[in-house]
Amino acid sequence: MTPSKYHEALNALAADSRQAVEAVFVAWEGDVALARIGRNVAGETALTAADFLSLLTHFDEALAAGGPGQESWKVACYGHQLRGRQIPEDRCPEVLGRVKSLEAHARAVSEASPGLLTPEEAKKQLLKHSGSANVAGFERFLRPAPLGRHIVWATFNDEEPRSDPFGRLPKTRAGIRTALGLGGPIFDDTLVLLVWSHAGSGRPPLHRPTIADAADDNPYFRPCADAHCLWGLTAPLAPNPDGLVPQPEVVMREISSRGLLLPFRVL
Amino acid sequence: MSAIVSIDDLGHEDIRAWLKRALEGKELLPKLAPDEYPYLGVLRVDKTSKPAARDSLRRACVQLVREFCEDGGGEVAYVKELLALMAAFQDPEAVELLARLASRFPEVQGIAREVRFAVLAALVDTPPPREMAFWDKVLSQNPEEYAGLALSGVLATNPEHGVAMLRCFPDDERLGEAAAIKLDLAWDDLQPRQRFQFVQDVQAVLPKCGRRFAAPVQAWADSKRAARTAGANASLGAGIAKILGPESHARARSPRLCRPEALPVG
Repeated sequence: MTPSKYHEALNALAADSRQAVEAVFVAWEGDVALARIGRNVAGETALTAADFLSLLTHFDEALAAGGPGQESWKVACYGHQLRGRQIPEDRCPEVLGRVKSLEAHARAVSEASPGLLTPEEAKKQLLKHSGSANVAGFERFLRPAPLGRHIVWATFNDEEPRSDPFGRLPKTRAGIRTALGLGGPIFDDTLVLLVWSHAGSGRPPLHRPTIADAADDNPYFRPCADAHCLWGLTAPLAPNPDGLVPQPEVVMREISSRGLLLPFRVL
Repeated sequence: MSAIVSIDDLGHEDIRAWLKRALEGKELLPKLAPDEYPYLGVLRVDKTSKPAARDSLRRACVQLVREFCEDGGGEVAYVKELLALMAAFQDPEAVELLARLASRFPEVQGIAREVRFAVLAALVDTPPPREMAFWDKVLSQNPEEYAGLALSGVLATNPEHGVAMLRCFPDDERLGEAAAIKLDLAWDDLQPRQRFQFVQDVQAVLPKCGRRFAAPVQAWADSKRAARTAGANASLGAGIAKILGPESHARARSPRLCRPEALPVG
């Protein structure tokens, strides 16, 4: 049986380092959230052997410096983000999308306009202009807002890459969250559906997501088992009564809303 | 850092310590998306906690706000999360503490610009609204920086005074665009019979404002005047018609019906 990429990288470490790294993942097995990180590491297929080894080496170094396991993992991951395979330009989707909670995007709009709009004012504007192609004076405040923080996780329609990725998804909050594998029973947030043009955003490089992009705070990430897949796939939430299929998933650096396609929708 | 915790079994001091770590991004929280702000995760923990823990969480938030207000210090990202949580909890004591800090901005050195904005934005967004005099003082501290937020604060309690403030504002186009949005939100909250006068008052003050500031505000006022003409809001009319049927179509106002001579005589 071919060893996993994780075991290949692990075996390339010195014995002491290997033991230190393995001990943390074993210790995490008793915790639901941390055990998921460990399983994701074991199932990662998108990092190159060199990057995987570098990630584990940095993790070991942070541990050796006395850092707690989870903090050390986070630090190591932050240094290895956006290292998944870059999608070739001719295979990049023209249109991408993501969901955010209304509260989160209102704050992003507010923070992009320091001293001008409060989060509550931005929220009222988002509600007021939802579904409208003409957002009037609000557009000047909408465009500078980042589409995500640090790293943007986005989806697209792999069958019709020029179309709105939400077009083929259910029209309910629960349905969209299920398909994208986000949240759980306690998540009843009002959502904002943001769709943007890849070209209009300056064609930032799109990458297949890896465990390093997920770091310690993306419990929804599941590594794709197919090492040759160009992009990742979401893991629809159980019980998924409508049998929604996994959606394509990519990551990119933080970008503004300059390529945002109107109308955006509040759901 | 630890995995997502239940705070139900923690004592108050532990909850306070947990809250601080959570707002610093050092606790795993239930987030809708990985890049979500930590305070939203704290609100979800709050929602699923027992009453005693929720009460403790709110008290801890006020304590952290009090600690911050002593000198306005702290890491910017953490303070912004704390203020966002405070705004969501709407605790009057915390609002009062922030208001006192804002009054002391000129004397307190080293508060980051974005923290000052976050403090003032929290005061705008969180009840109870501050008095007009408070916002006048804030504006006088630094009209270039605080005009937008002072306008929001005043419009919440006294739209007429808000309009009068416009003449003191810096001649800045982006501020004018923000003012137009704020005036529009205030207009939404007015009684229909007050709206026409509100727009008239705004138009009356604009000649006293700088040209760059006034242009977007004037455009807003013009849009409100245009909206009064028949059929201007075609999309709204179409929406109403779609829901209620063609009989509901807005009819053009006939000037004849408005003129006294059109009234029935005798």
